[in-house]
Amino acid sequence: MKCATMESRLFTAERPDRVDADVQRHLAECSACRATHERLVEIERAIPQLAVPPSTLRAAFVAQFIQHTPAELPAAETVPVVRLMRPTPSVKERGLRKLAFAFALAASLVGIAIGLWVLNPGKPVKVDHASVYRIHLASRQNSALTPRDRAETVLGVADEVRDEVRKLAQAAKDADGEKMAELAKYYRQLVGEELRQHVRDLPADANRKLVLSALEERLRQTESEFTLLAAPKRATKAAEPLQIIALAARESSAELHALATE
Amino acid sequence: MATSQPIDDVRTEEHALIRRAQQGDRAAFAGLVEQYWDRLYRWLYHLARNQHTAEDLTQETFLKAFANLTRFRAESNFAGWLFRIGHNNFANHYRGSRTREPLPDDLPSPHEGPVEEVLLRETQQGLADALVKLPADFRAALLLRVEEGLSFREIAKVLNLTEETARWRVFKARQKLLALLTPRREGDQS
Repeated sequence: MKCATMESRLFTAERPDRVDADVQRHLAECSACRATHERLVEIERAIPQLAVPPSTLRAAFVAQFIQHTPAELPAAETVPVVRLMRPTPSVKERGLRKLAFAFALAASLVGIAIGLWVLNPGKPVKVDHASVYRIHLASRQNSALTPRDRAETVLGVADEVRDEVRKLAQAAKDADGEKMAELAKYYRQLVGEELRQHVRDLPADANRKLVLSALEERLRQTESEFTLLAAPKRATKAAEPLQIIALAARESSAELHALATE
Repeated sequence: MATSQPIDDVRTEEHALIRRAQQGDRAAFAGLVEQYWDRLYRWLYHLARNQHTAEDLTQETFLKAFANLTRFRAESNFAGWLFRIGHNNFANHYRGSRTREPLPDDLPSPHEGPVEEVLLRETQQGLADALVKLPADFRAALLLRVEEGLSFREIAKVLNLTEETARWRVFKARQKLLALLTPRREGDQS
């Protein structure tokens, strides 16, 4: 066996520490390959020992999760909009605040839902599909310090919601109809009232028009793509959510266009 | 992945937790969180190289896993499924924010100690530095192999690749790591 062949077999082995007889014979005869083999095994044994900063959130997450798993959340419109303005905190402080804020938001949203669930104990737990994105948005908004950051964060989360709906629509499973509908409604809320609120706060400077135009362009692309996606799905459960997203993107882009040309 | 229990017992226990969690038992899902949090966080930390990002991604991964748990098939590999969600979150996070890889956190500072300990720490730091220099795709695949003990087929599922591409990424990661960590001898060409 040539050294190059040996190296290739060694590097593509699932377990370099358990090589087959051919490789072992070569290793017994070739000191350079033996050194490579020993070094690789040593490195792979050392990797799991590498230090990483300890995660401090597991216990808090578990405790909060058991008490406050997002279940049947109330209508999205009741989500309180909390905006925190503060000087830039330390990285650690920001992380802890984000967690606390996310859980506080989740807890406030599920209060009514848990009550409803308790009244219907036989009913299976229904997970709110948008809750992950709500928490995600709350978490990111907490570190977005300017109106532009906040507007871009909202649209960023909206794009993630949109992408999930696209993926579900392409998978074309009837069981996903309810999830798509729920996510599409949340998308409409994001690019509607949530985004509107932040773009109104944009300072009237030279960048305002550029920012508005960039956001408008992204929404126009979504509108155009989802209009096309919805057309062949007319007879399926995916049609309505796709149309909701296309329409919401169109209305929002028109609104941004009007603001940009004011 | 050292464990004192026989693997079959651990799997049976895990399947029982999954079945209960699929029926809405939050405590059972919390058991899965306890079991996988550190492993998932550690992998995401190596990818994101930032403690708070890794913690955010870990939380999100578990929330998404819970929301989609009814889709998990009992005969599948739960770790692989969970890490796949984690990888999608990681990819979305960096695609969404359009940022480059963040600067790494400072690791816990070394303490004074015997010479061997200092040498060990220096070796570990050298390895950590080399790992950081690998492209994230290679790093992700290698760590799933070395730390999680996943097969190439399982790595391919987590990272949404073909098995051959997963194998190739691990191959390249090993090759680069060795090149980075092997001291050049005098007379070697640069």
